[in-house]
Amino acid sequence: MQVVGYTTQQHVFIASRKRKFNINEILVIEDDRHNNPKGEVIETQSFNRFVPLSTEKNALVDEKVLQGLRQVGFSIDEEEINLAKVRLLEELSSPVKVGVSARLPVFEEVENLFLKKRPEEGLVLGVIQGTAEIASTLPEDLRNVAPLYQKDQGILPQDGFPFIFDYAEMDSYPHIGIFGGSGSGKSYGLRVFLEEIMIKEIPTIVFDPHYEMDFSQTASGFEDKVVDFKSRFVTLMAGKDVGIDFTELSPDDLVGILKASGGNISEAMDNAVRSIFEPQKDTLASFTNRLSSLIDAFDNETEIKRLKNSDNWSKLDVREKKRYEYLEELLLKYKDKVGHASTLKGIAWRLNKLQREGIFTKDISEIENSLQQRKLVVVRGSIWLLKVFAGFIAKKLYNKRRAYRDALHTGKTGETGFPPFIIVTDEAHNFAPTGFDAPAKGVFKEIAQEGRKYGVFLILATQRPSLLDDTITAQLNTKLVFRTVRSTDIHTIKEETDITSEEGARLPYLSSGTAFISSAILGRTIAVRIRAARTTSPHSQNPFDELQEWAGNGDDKLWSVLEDYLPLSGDQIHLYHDEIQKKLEEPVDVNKIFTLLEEMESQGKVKKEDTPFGPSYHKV
Amino acid sequence: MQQELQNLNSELKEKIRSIPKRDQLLLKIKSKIGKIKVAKSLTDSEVKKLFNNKPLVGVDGSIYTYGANFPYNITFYKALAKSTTQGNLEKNRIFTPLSDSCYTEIEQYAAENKISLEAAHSKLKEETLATLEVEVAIQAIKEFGPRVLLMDGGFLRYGSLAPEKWQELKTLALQNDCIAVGVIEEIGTFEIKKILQDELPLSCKNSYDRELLFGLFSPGEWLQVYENLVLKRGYYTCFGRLALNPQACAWDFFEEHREYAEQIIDYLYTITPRQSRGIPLWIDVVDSDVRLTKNMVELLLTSSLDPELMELLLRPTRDKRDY
Repeated sequence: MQVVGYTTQQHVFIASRKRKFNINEILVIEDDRHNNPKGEVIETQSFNRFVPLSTEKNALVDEKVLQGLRQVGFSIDEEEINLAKVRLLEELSSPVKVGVSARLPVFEEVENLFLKKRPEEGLVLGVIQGTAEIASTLPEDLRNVAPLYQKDQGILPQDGFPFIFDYAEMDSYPHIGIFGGSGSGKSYGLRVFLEEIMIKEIPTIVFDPHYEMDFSQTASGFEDKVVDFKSRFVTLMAGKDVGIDFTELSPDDLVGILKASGGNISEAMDNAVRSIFEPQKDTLASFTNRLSSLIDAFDNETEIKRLKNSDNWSKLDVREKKRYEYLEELLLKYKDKVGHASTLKGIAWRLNKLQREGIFTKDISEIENSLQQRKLVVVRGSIWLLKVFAGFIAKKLYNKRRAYRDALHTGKTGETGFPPFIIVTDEAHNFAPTGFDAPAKGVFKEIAQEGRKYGVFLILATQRPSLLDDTITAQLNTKLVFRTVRSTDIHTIKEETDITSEEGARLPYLSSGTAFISSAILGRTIAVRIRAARTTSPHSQNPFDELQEWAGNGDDKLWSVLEDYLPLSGDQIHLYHDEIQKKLEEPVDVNKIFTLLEEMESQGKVKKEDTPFGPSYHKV
Repeated sequence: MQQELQNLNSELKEKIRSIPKRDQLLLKIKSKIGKIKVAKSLTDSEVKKLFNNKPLVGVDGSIYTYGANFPYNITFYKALAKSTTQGNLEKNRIFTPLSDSCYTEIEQYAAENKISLEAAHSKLKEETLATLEVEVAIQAIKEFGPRVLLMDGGFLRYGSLAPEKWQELKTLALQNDCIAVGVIEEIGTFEIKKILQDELPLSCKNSYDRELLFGLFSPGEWLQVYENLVLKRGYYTCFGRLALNPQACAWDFFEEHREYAEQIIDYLYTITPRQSRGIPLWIDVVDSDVRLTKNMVELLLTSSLDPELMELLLRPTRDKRDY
């Protein structure tokens, strides 16, 4: 391998007749004057000047010509020249000397470049691309720590340097972004990240709108070395296991929650909520009661006035009088601020929806407890509910952590301890969108900017980085970029990372599971193939395969039970229905039994006879 | 200028039109000059048999002159012999009137031949290149022992520009059973025309063989010149067309190798790409290896000569034009 052509202080071309270059591999350039600089292959080419592209001037060479020359000892194939464009890892003061040779490095030469931490001290995320050929020089403790996965082939051995993320450095360079289109391996990458986080027992809360972050199923290929994650994570349903304690809401929270529950809310509604709601005093009951009373008052305003001034007033009993007086009082107090009953009805309708979801029936103590136990907490729920929740929970936990840290600083005692933690979410652009407001946006922004001080970090995954709030994007100091096709997203990625134009051009074509990791911690972009996940997503089965099995299974099972009852007539089916269900160990509709028998008849497995008492089915 | 070109166009058209039709011309050629043969692609075993484990060697030269008018220039010569099995042999030379020894050489040559210094210089350049090519070919025969030696160009040029060395090469080739072939891309002779002179219209009196032979052969056809006919003294020359390009080319052999001509032309046909301009691929391979380019020469000069010398003596002022 030799440096050829023009060189600059940043780039060189290296040519080789024998060896094909691998993209992203590191080469040592033996230029003594520059202390043998290292460079990364960023573009590769091979060409054979005697087998050019067919153009008007250069025709393709016929095989007989090559054969005629081969017979006298010349093989045109050997005229192939391999060329690599190499970017130097550090800029030099003057260009590299042309003509010097280049070689593959040995482990010691690139150790500092690739390995900031050993596996036990960092997150083992994958294998560094382009290091396959120097992997033989790896020391024992770095081998087989990051097996790979290939669809159709299963688990493959680690073929290069492991990529180990130095998470302790997040203290200086906080927050992580995971970007990539669907099918790019983004969710898989997130799963691997979370597995590593669990191994390191870092308290983490994950908002999981896709219901896919479950770590109890071991992936095939890892059966012999199962890591038991079951005790390291809990799954909680928003509205069922965890909820919002209404008494802890601030007016802003409440407005935000209402907003999230049903699209936007009008300014009048916003204003009304702030007027009626009494923070720290109101319970859900007292608030809804006041709200419905006020609606009642508005609806019956004239009636109340009329009644009050009529003779009938004295005829009312005490309770009724009290009720009307209360309504009148409400009207007096809120009429100017609220304006109209329809505003209140809009609020009531949204509140009702939240209540039905059970969002106010629980609190988040379970999340807090699990984080204290250094567990990973997965909170599931529909995306709109999570949007409401994430803002509230993040704020609550962040404040708790902040209060504790501040207390430590100022020497105050009495504040309960709360550990540092990570907040993770997929579809992050829903939680903190650019351009418009969302319940969680404020607190996510605050954590992005200030979280580092308190040990609160974000891992935000999204397929639309261009839709993620840019203040937040700018704070993501480490970015894993998977295949991205949309030009706006590529543009955002290029702006927000140190990805070069060559790497940017590769983004739409990255194979699934390969990512560029651009990180202030590393100081440069590294292409990494994400390691095999030890666990599998509950959705990893193709839904159509599942459908096949599901339909097939059910019918097969039912048929094997029914077979024993043949011959069966219509009235007998009703008679044996209970028995059949018992044998089947699951409920089955009578109609379903009929349908199956009809189906079996069409397949020729059953003979059907019409009798005066309805059809009767016989075994063939 | 346009009018002048139009006149030229009609003149040339008239001249070409007067060349007899293909069939007539073929008849005349067949009767007076030689037989039309059809080349065939050799099979692997036929090639092996022909070469008998010896290599094929191609020889070519390249020349590049950098600088301004005499004497402010420098000429680079490179001659290359490339074997299909043993690699390359290379000879290089630099020649500039700026150096005293070169200048004396030019003066002597001018005095001997009674020509101007400039003329002597340009004549010397031709001779030097031809000599280098022949020298490297001689060395290649000695070191590589090739079965076939392909020279890029006709034998007459070597014979006249480097007569002594050429004689040495011939002797060596005959001794070593090495068949030398001069591959002529641009036919510049008028031997065929001379023989057919009487039968051609008067307007063809200034025609060269190139015009007569254009499109005459079908791909693969070649003209096996009758034995009693000597077109070039001491050499045996054949004409033909090995690719789709209608322009004919020619091959020089030593008279002593006449018997091999047919086999060699079959082999040349085998290694000539059908879509190409009709030259064996090996010649192109050698040519691309030997070619001196502007970039290369300038790089060599700027990296080895002091910049002030470059500016003072060599850098042509026209290089500094902005447009």
